[in-house]
Amino acid sequence: MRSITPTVLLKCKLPPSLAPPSQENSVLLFPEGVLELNETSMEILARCDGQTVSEIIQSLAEEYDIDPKTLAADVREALADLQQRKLIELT
Amino acid sequence: MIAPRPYALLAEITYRCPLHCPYCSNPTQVRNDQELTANEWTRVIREAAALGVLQIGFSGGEPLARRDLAELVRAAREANLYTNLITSGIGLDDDRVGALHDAGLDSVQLSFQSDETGLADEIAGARAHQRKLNVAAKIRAEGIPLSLNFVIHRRNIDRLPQMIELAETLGAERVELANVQFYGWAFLNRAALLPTREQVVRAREIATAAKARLAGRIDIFYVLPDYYETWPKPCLNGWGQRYLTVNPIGDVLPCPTASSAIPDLRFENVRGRALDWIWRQSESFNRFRGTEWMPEPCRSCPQREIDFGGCRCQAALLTGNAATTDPVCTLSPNRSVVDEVLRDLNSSSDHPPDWTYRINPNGIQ
Repeated sequence: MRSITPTVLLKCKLPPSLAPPSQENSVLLFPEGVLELNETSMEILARCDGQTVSEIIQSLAEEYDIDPKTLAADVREALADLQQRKLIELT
Repeated sequence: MIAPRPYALLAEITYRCPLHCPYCSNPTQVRNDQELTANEWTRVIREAAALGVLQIGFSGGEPLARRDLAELVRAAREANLYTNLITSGIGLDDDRVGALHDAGLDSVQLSFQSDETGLADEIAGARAHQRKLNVAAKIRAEGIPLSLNFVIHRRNIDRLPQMIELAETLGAERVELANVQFYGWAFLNRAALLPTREQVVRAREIATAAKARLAGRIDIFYVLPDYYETWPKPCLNGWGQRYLTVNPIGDVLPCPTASSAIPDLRFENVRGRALDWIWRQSESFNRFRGTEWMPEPCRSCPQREIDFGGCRCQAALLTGNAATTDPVCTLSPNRSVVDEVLRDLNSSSDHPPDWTYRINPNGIQ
């Protein structure tokens, strides 16, 4: 099974200065672009630290008490999307 | 209304440039004032970060024309901004690549005019292409992520496949294939630059196929030729929403082309006002913020929070009034202005006219 690591792109947390508390999302920054991350993508990206895709799914399933089979397709889709945009690398 | 949080600052640190591209979006006339100093820029960068900005693009003109560029990049990294250099590459030798990397530069967007030397140099009005190839190699060797930017127009659009191939050869991570947008010098040269419908259709097929083929390897970003579109582009994601530009002399602009396209808009300057005030309070940032300013058909349009009525500068340039619907929109009462331009071009078999090369602003040093 493949493991995933984010690429060179800087992952950055929004400082709280202007954003209302409910919108304190993280973002991914890339040339001329800012991708606002929803909670799910944030949770997935937080686990892109050398864990395999299966381990990420397992870990999310435990955290949210959901059947891993239910999660798998969504997680894979989110990762594929990030990879297509060259924001993460699958190795 | 409450000002939203800006994400990105475009720092146009100089209008000087060694290239003379006829599609340059810089104003054709600029004021002959002193450029901001490095100290002034450092203050602007800190104020932008405090306002919530996360990303800075160093642009121009040619930002490398300023010897203190690395100092500005360092200031931006110290303010925790993601830093991107938008450059022709001319002037980027080994020492400067190293210095910029040491300063914390996150990314370089390198412009190319074509894939082959003859045409590229003709478009740039300078012998630049071979130097750019060397610069691309230096950037990759230094390990800085590289994007290539191509501005696409009538004279180079047929070479799209070769341009994409060049990006693959040079190891770029992203390629921006941007159909020319008609502002500044490009507006002046529109008759020479606007591609034919046939060219546009073919280019779209090539870009779409390349995007699919290179998915996961190179991110291809295709900017549509908006005159040929039915709906306007969501310019800036809305006026005064996410972006601000500071030009070489310190004027703060909601959009880099606004200073020349909308002559009745008065801009504040960082030498006289705090950036926070300008972003939140100034008339220039508030005039087209939100949906209140909109006339019909925008005002009642279900798309109004999707495309924001299109581009204010384009409305001003094509209708003489910035507060009208972007004439690209099929619902605009002024769409015929765009259609006439397209009809004239596509019904004529004449060669396009010569273009006027961009010249450097007088007196700005």
